[in-house]
Parts: sequence; structure tokens; C-alpha cells
Amino acid sequence: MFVGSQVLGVYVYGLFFQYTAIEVLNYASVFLGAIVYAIVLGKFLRANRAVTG
Amino acid sequence: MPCFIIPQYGNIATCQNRKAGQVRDRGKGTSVKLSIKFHPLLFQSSLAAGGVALMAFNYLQFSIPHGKGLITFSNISWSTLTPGQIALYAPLVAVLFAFTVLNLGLTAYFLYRLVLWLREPGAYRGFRDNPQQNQNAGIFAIVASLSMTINVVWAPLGFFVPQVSSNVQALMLSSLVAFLILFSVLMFLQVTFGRTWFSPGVERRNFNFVWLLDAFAFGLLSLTGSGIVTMAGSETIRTIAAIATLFTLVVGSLLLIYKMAFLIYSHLRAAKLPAASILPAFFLIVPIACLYGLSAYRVAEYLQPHLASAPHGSESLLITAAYVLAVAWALGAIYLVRDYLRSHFVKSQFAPSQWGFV
Repeated sequence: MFVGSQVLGVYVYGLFFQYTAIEVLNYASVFLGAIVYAIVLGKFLRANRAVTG
Repeated sequence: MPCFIIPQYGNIATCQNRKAGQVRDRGKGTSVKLSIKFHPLLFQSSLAAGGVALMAFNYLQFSIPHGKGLITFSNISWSTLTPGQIALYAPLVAVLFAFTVLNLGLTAYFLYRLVLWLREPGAYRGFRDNPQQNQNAGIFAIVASLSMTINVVWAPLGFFVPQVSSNVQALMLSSLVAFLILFSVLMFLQVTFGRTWFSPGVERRNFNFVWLLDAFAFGLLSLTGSGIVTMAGSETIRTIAAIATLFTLVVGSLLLIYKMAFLIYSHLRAAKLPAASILPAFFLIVPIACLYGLSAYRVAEYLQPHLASAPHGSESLLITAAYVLAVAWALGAIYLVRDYLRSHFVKSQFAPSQWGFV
């Protein structure tokens, strides 16, 4: 859920508020982003396979 | 025939008709497997991959002490790291590598498909002249994705390729040229496609949040421009980039404010959520808020010495406000589409708007 704001999140963490909670949130969001991407990519490839027949 | 859903087509599926002799992507010996008919929204896959690569890169940039400038692979002294730190950073480097390759590979592939699509008689015109339900707004995904790729070349690619990281200054002029080309293309598309949305007979009350893709493209272009402002050594390059970025920020912000107000009003009036395949587009506001906040922060930092009246600390206020807006909107959007996330997302068919989650 915080994935999209992560790129900005590290700036907030790195420049202004060095809270562990923000650091953990930023770290987790990288992998959450990667997982969501993998799910969507899987759907995309399945749709593509279906088109290919 | 199996299809995939283009939500902007009002859930009309788009299929590749193999017998119709449409574009085939087959090389000699190795066949390219992607047979889905080209649509500009497919550029969202490379865009999202670039986003994930930048996430991992930024985390490393701010977490690991290194010399001045952007962090590179050789800046990390793995032998001195504790096992805990290695367990923390190694997966990030793996994600960074995978998504950098994905971004560059998909960009090259879809650029090739784009050229073929533009050469198809009537394809572009037919796409442009179809503004109902903002179906043609997907064109802006191309500019957005290419802007992202410039950022991927500077940072994630530079992380792995020393020749890139050590020559970032040499890349600045070509980056500025690429930025200005994308800037011109975006302006052209904005005027051309913007006209279609306000032509007679278009039911704007049926527009959805995918309509914000142009504001998103302005945000990504601002990120690129502000990146040049931050990194370039040449004062001339910085000034040109700063002026152009200020322009994209102002135009993009105006577009965003108008469209957000319109969409929120029309969605409230409709008193029901749009079709499931369009729901992920609610999340578009999140990266847009971040991009504008970050770009404005960088430009304000550059302009502050020139503006005697600029309040001290205004940059931190900009960036924090954008972050708060992004997080608040993300939470609100999750609440709105909670049923979709719980029971529909994993099982549903592919829809390009799903890249919006990333």
C-alpha cells in the first residue's frame, strides 16, 4: 500500500525523519512492489499465452 | 478467442487475431512470445519495473554510507558487512538488478512494437479519435515510461555499470536532449489528445482515474528534469532543465488539480465505484503526489539562492506534504477498493491498470 510513496519515503527518511518505522516500511515496500509486479506479470503472461493459443 | 482487458475500452477485451495478418513478432530461430496486440498502456509494465528498480536503488542510496554522488555496487564493501547487513542488502541488490534488466528490456521491446504500431495504417489515428471513457489517455504511458527509463539509466544501471556511473556528467547533455524531446512530445500529445476530450459528444462524466495518466507523465518528466537540475555540473544545462521542469510542474499541477476535482465530483455523483478492472487506477494519485513533491523539492532547492524571499525550510514542507498526501490517498484508496483487493485482484484477468498498484 505504501509502495508508490516509497521513492519519496526514503527522502523523508534520509533527509528529515530517521525513524526506524519509516526505514522498515520503506524496506518492506520494495519487496511488496516486487511481489505485486510479479503477480501482474504472471497474469500478463497467462493472457499472452492464451492469445498465442 | 482469449483476450485481455483494456479497462479504458469499457471492459471490451482486446484480442490478437492471428489470421488477420496483424503484426507478428517472430525472429529467426527464436520467436518472441508476446503475441498480445500492441496498446500504449503496455508501456506501464516497463514503467512499473523502473519504479521498483528505483525503490531498491533509493533505499541503498540512503541507507549505506558512501562517497559523494550516487551509490554504486563497488561502494558496498561486502567483506566488512555483518551477516545481518548482507541478508538485508543482498536481496535489494538482486531486486535492483532484476528490475533494471526488466525495465531496459521491456522498453526496448515496446519501442520496437510502438514503431510497428505507428506504421500500421490508421492505428494511431483510430486510437487518438476514440476519447470516450478516456480510452485514448493511455498514450501518455509511453512518455511516462521513457522518462522513467532515463532515471533508470542514471541510477540503477549506473549502480552496476561503472562506465555509466563514472560518466554521469558526460550523460547530462544527452539526458537534457532526451528530456527536451520528451517535453515536446508530451506538449504535442497534450494539445492533440486534450482537444479530443472536449470535443462535442464526449461523455466526460464516464471518465475515470486513468485520465490522470497525462498528469503522471508530467510528473515523471519533472522527475527527470529535476534530476538533471540536481546532478548536472554545467550551469547552462541546469538552468535550461530548471526552467523546463518548472513549466512541467506548473502545467502538470494545474491539470492534476482540475482533473482530480472533476473526477472526485463525477465519482461522488455516480455514487458507485467504476468497473473492477479500472479500480487500481485510484492509486495513480500516490505516485503522482510523490513525483510532484520530489521534483518541486529539487527545483526549489536549486532556485532558493536566487529567491531572497523563499521561506527557509519550504523544501522539507513540500516533500513532507507530498508524502502525507500520498500515504493518506493510498489508505483511502485501499479502503475504497478493499473488496476488489480481497477477492478479485489475484483471481482476475490481466488488466493494464493493475500495473498502477506498483
